[in-house]
Amino acid sequence: MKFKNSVLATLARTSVLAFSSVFLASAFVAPASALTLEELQEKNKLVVGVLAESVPWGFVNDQDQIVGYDPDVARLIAGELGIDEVEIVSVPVPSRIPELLSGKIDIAVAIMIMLPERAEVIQFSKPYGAQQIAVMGRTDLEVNDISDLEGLRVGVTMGSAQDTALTENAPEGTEILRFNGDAAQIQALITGHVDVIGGANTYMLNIEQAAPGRFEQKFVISSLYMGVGLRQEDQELHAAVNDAIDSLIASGALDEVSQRWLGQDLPEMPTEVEGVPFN
Amino acid sequence: MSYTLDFTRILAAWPDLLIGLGRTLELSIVAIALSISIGIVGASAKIWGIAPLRAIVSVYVNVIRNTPFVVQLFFLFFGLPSIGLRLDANTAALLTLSIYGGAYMVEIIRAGILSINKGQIEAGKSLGLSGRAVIRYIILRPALRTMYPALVGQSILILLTSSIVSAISVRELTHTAEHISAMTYRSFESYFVVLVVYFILNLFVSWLFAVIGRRAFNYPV
Repeated sequence: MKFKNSVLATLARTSVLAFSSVFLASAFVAPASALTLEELQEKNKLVVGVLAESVPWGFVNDQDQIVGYDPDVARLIAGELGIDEVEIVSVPVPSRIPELLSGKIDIAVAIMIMLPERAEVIQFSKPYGAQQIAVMGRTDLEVNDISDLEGLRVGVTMGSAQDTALTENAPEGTEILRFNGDAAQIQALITGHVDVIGGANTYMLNIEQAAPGRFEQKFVISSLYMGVGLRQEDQELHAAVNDAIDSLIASGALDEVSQRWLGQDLPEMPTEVEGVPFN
Repeated sequence: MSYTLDFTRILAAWPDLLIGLGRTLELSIVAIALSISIGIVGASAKIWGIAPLRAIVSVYVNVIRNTPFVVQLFFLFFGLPSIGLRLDANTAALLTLSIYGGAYMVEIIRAGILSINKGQIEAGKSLGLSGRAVIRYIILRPALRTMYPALVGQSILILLTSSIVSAISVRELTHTAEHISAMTYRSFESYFVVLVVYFILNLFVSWLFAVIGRRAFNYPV
């Protein structure tokens, strides 16, 4: 099954922008020598760049603190590295990579989707999380893959990636209802106008809040993986971060983070991402 | 201006547009018929009904005419399921359009009936016509001719208003245009084509009403 993933395309376009700003930034930044784990442990402080405007990944809470999925992961990684203090720095999307390369932040845990264009300028760690486009629906429905959608009413946001994906791949007899926006689509699900909807897995948060226990995620249409961003010269730190992610997955700590912010277990992390070496 | 117009992908979607047009027509025609029925019943109740009935009709007309259509639509579609009444998108659209149009029709028809001179009605009665015959020949037929232009105008307005039901996923003409636009990123072309279709459609409807009017109202006053 092949999905046209326009989300990916959009992200790729955005990253081209980020990519070009990298050169701009690196033009007046002297190449730093590699940051070693020992140095960091000596300072006992890790400076982490996160996004602060993306609920639930990273956002400012009512106490003016940046909280969310990524800050939690950052603290866990720091703990694994044996560093006590974590400084969470808000970075805007376009300057995530420049700030990393210029040494303003040590690592970036900033919903960075692992894309080949980015992997050319920075080093990605192993994936620590995923953004998924999924089909969600009533708990009493038996829906395990796209062929089970036959005869069901499926809500999508008009013109979205999931609209294209489901319109092209759903079996004959699937009724696709298109709404002008996420809110209307979620309302249609909750009020029973549609049986399932296609959308970002973070929708489940709002759905669960409005109608606890009535809906669940059924299957994933496409996944985008997020990795920790590191400078290419920091090879030792990279290996240490990868080990940290391995043990955090093994201990279930990342599952907990995923449960806390997304209300679901961490999906299976891939051993490779096309065009993005991370080992 | 470096934008190059390209209508090929929009026009290639003509089967979808045709289906959308069909749904718009179906929805509008039924809604207009229901609105006029509501209008006749409502106007009669308001003129000849007992006090509580008149009050109910007044409340209905005032509430509907002083609230936005799109909110009425969302209330019926998204709101009513909370109290256990779930209408599918097509039913909710048809009902809201009819209830909305009906409120205006009540006033149009009431004004038409009231425009009949009292003396004319009394003349009918004194000629020995039955009550039913007075209503039919002395009141409704001449009143219909008076209110006809307003009735036609309101009907066309209902047809245009039907475009709003695209918001609750009814696949009518506007919804189809929105979808084509979202898929092709050709907003100018998509909406331009649909504007032309609506315009021609309404020219046709106006012409149809005019022909009906000429045939139906050639009786003497």
